[in-house]
Amino acid sequence: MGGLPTQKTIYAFVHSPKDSKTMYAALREGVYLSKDGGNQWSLLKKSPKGVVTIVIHAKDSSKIFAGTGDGNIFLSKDGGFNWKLQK
Amino acid sequence: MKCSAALRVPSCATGKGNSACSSLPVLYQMKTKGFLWLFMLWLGFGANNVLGQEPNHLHSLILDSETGTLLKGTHHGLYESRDEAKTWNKRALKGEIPGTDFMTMVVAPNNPKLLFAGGHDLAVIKSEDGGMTWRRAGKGLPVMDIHALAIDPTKPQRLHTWAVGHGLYRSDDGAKTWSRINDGPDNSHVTSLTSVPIPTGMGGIFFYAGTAGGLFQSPDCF
Repeated sequence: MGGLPTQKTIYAFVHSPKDSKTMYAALREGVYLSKDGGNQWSLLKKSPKGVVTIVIHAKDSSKIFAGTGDGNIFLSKDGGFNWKLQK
Repeated sequence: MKCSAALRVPSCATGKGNSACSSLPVLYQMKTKGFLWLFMLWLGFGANNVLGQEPNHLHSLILDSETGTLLKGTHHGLYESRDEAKTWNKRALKGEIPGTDFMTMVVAPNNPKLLFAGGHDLAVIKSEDGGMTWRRAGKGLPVMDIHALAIDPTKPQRLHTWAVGHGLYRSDDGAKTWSRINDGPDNSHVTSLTSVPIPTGMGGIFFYAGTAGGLFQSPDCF
């Protein structure tokens, strides 16, 4: 699991319904993405911090909602690279 | 993966958005400005529930891919949004619901109306109408405090759950009955469980646990 910090809290972990090897893990500092089943990870630099839950649209896996512990919801329409606060 | 661990009860609230925490600053004013204090206390502590607005925290999100409806699980029940999370309304739930604390929710991969939820005071509950009506589904679980649920995308009748203080449990009959599997990952502060349909080569798929000590992977061949 290269690139994903160890000994840190994983607040959420999901995989893409279209491609099981595409995975997202939420840590305090942001959301990490793996495209190879969890072997290599990279931080999505524009992702929100403090995410505690993630859901991926079952029919459009580029659409991802992420909720933060303080109640904000962010939406990405490009697989997690860009995010917009929804309220 | 080694599956033994010393169990401990994890804390759940982040605190930052907790309505109880946000009420604390008004305590000082209580002694000198009675009415103002009561008003501020109402704003900070009870207004969300009175007005039906969502509290400033959340624990779980699920999405109905057919309708686009989002459901948000909080300490105080379920909220729904039909406009991509711009506005929320508290959902009036029906059925047998032992608590209000929706820590974790999953959707059946073959039926977007079939939902399962767990929480501090919920054990596991099940809905077959997209989250309007719920009933208990936790026979065999030792506690009401559930922190994580996973559903197997290849066998939707198979679910796993994390029973706080008691370890990893599995159901093979759609959450009707549960059996203990083991102590779970080495770090017992489990925040999420996920079954991922990547073949292990041993007839199963991989199973992931997010914890306070990182991400754990295990072949689902318990």
